[in-house]
Order: sequence, then C-alpha cells, then structure tokens
Amino acid sequence: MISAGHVGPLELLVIQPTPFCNLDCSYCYLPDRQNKRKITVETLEKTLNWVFSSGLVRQPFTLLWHAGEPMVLPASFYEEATLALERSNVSPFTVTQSLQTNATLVNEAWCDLIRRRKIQVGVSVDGPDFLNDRHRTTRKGGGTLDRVLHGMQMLRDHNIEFDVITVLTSASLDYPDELFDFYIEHGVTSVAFNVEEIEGPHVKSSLSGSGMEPRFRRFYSRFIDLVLASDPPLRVREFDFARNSISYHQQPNARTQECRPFAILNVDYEGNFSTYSPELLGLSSPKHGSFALGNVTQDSLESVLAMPRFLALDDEIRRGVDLCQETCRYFPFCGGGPPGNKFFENGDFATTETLSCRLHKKATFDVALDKLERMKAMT
Amino acid sequence: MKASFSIAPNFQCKGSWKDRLLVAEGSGWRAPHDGELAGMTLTAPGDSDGVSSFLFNVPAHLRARFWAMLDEEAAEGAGDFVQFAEDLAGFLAFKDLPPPKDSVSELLIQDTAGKVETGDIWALINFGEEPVLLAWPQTRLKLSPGEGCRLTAGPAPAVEPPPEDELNVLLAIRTGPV
Repeated sequence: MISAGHVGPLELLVIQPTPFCNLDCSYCYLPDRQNKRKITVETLEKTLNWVFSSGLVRQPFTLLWHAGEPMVLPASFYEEATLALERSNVSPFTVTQSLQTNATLVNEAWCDLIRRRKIQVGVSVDGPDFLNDRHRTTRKGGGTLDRVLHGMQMLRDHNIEFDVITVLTSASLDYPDELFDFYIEHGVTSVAFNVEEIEGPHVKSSLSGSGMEPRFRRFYSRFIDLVLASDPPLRVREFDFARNSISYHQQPNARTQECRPFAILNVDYEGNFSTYSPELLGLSSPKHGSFALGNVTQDSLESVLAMPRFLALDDEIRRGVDLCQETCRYFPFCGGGPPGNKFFENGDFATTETLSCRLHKKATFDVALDKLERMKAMT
Repeated sequence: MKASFSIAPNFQCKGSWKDRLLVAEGSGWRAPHDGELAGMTLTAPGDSDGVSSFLFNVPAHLRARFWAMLDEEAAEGAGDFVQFAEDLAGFLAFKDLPPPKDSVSELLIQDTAGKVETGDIWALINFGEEPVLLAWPQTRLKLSPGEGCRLTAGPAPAVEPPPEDELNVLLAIRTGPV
C-alpha cells in the first residue's frame, strides 16, 4: 500500500467551477461542456478542507480554476472562494490562484477581483480571426475573436498581465509570422503552445496526418527565430522550458507532474476527484472504470490510496513512465509523456510515444537545441 | 491574355476582390460585376494554372523593419537593405513563394511624374502607407499597404503614379539586373 506521505506533494489543484463553457471549440476534450451546473460554496469548502487535511500540502501550490469556462460564475463567487481558501489554509504555504479563460466574459468586476486578489490569468486564443474563428466558435458556429480581444483589452486597460495559450492545428503551421504579429499587436508578452491533441471525445487531430512533423518543426523554428529577434521580447513557454533544461539541466530524470500521483489533484463541480492528467476527470474506461477516484465528501486520501482501482492505475502509469525512461532519449528532459495522451491515443497507460510527445516535446526540444547551438557558435 | 488574379497559397488577405479590382467603363473605372469577377479571379489555389497575378501580404513585423531600415539609412547611413531583402526572401520562401535564385531586390520611390519599368518584375510589394494601383489594359488592381503582387504570366502591368505630393514606396523583386 502507498501511504499519503509517498504521494504528492500537491503542485497543482485544478477545480472545475462548472463544466459549462459559453464557447464550443471543435477540439475541446470536455465531454460535458453543455452542463450548466455549478460548484456550491459548500462543496468548495469541503474540497479545500479535504486538500489541507490530506497531507498533500507540503509546499506552495497553484489553485487553477479550469475545465469549463470559470468566468461563467460571477466574480463574486470567487471572492467567496478566496475567503474560503484563506479560512481553510491551515498550512504555512502560499496558494496562488490562477484561471484559464477564453476572456469573452471579462468585465469590470472581474478586473477588480483579479487585481485585488492577485489572480494569475491565462487567456486561450488561437491567433488572427482566420485561425481562431476556425475552431474557437460559439454554439451557432460564429467567430469569437472580437469578444476575446475586447476581454484582453480590458485586462490590459487594468494593467493586468496575462499569458496566452494557443492551440496549434494543421492550419496554424503555415502562419508563424501572422501569429507573431498577432501577439505583438495585442500586447501579449508570454505565449504557450498546445498542440491539437486526441483526448476524450476529440478522437482525431488535424496534426496526426503524415508529413505533419516536418511542417511543425518548420513552423516552430521560424516562430522561434522571430521571437529571438523580437523587441519587445516575447516569451515562449516551450522554448523557455527547453532552454532551462538544456542550459541548467534542471531536475534530470525527474518524473513530470502529470506522471506523479497527486502532484496534480483535479476536482469537479460535485467534489469528485482524480489525479494525473486533468483531462482524465469525468471520463472512464472499461478497464479502469471511472477515472474519478473518490469524492471529497466521503473518501479520504488514505482510502483512495488503498483502492485496487487506484493501485492498478498507478501501476500502469508507472510502467508507462518506466518504458519512456528505457526507450526515449528525451526522458531526462521530459520526465515521461502525459498519461492522458497515452491512454487516449494508445489505449493504454503503459505505452510510450504520442502525438504530443513528437510535436510538443521532441520537436520543440530539438528546435531549441539547434537555436542554442547556433547562438553559442556565434558568440 | 487577360489579367487574372488569385490569393497566393498560404496567405490571407483582408478585403474582397470587388474592393481591389477596377474595370474600365467608358472613360472611367468601376468595381467589377459578379459575372466579371468570376472570370477574373480564382478562389481555389490549386486551380491556378491560368492565373497571371498572385496577391500576398507582408507581415507587420517586416513592414516595421523596412521603415526602421530606412530610418537607419537616413540617420547614420547604416540601413542594411541587402539583409532586409534576404529576410524578406526568407519569409516568401517559408510561404512556398521563393523568389528566383538570381533575383534582385530594388527599392522604388515613385513620384507623380515617375515611371516604373515592370518588364522583368517577379513581384512588387507596396511598403507605403497608401494604396498603389497596378494597371493592365481594361483592369486595375489596388495594392493595399503591405500587399504584394507576384506576376506570373501575361502582360506586365504599369504602376500608376501617385497623386501630386504623394509617393509610392515599393519594393520590386526583379528577375534581371537592375
């Protein structure tokens, strides 16, 4: 049996305030995004009490409001949530709140809350209209970019810094210059790229066809060239990660967050919780049953750690990470492919390479290494 | 051969062909009717064998660099046009629109009395802040700021001089010596 002291420490607490999203992006992995139910303050308090009494809190961590559009709930809810967090945090550690939003619902109340409570903001936007509005649409199929830009402008008007996450699809790969222009024009200083992944109900990616990997590398290489010459600077999460890994060899062979049990805790609006990849919450498989391992109202961490269902899941994920370590030369810098991607693409956690590995990890790493070697040669 | 137009593959240009094209009518010019447009433009890049002009655009960061380069040249004589032209060619190559191997880039400043020699032009790019008119017999194309035109076949267009007190600022990529 695994004891509570041997899992975690908690690094990321993902709370789903509602599964509902006011947009209907074509590549979304959330199966229940039309469900308008919301978390109650009571469930939230039980969640926070569960977390702080679990033994998982042994260092500062981030509370991310995600897995549905968090701004569907009014800012006043998060005011209450912040007070609940302050009441329940009996640890000596700081909790940083963060939210991932489509920014279409940003208003004065939100800006006020974000500033006062120092909440970190990530905005999901895929670039100019011909890219963003191709996939990030309303339920009637309309474009959303105008509303996103309005929200981003409001954040900037209130001096609120935000990061951007852009999902790259096959169509994006022809437009690195246009994406770069978009970020500069709209005052974006930090961008993270996700690739269109095969996850949950999204069973096919435009990036999985033949010839995509060279196209992706070509795109990313040109984008990084633009970034390295950029003034004002633009930070790219994937490049920073690779550069830090290469230059400082940070935590070699350390298993990545998603591969360690309860480094991430995902809690849905009803208090059901899972760990490992956040995308697993709300989904199930014939072999594993529900990936929700328990509910904060009735299941302790100890009881979950003793469950055969958790032990089987943990074993399969560990074997997958071991395979990564044995077979992949990128492992020292990666720490293991995301279990969610392995499951959704390969049908089993005890597997290795995925589309996400090939593009998001290996290609970005190779490009960063190439750029750094060239920069070193020039100096 | 009549002038015909398409957006170059891998580019996105804002605005409609009706806003860009003009056809002759009597002694004046007007926007083409739908039927006329259908015969002048192609929307599917793959079906582009008969196209004589491909429209493309240059990203804002390259346009900003162009003007910074001119400012450096004016202030300190240090503007590096050759490097800029190489970077522009690199961008076009990424877009699968590479300039010919031995092409030469030329900066053109055209005043109201100026004439541009267009016989050997591979592409013409409007780096100014006002539209530039390319004139074929019976047809004109308005190049908005930042837009370029790749000329592939048929008669070369003339470049309409700008109104008095204005200048056309263009970059020509030529297949022959300047």
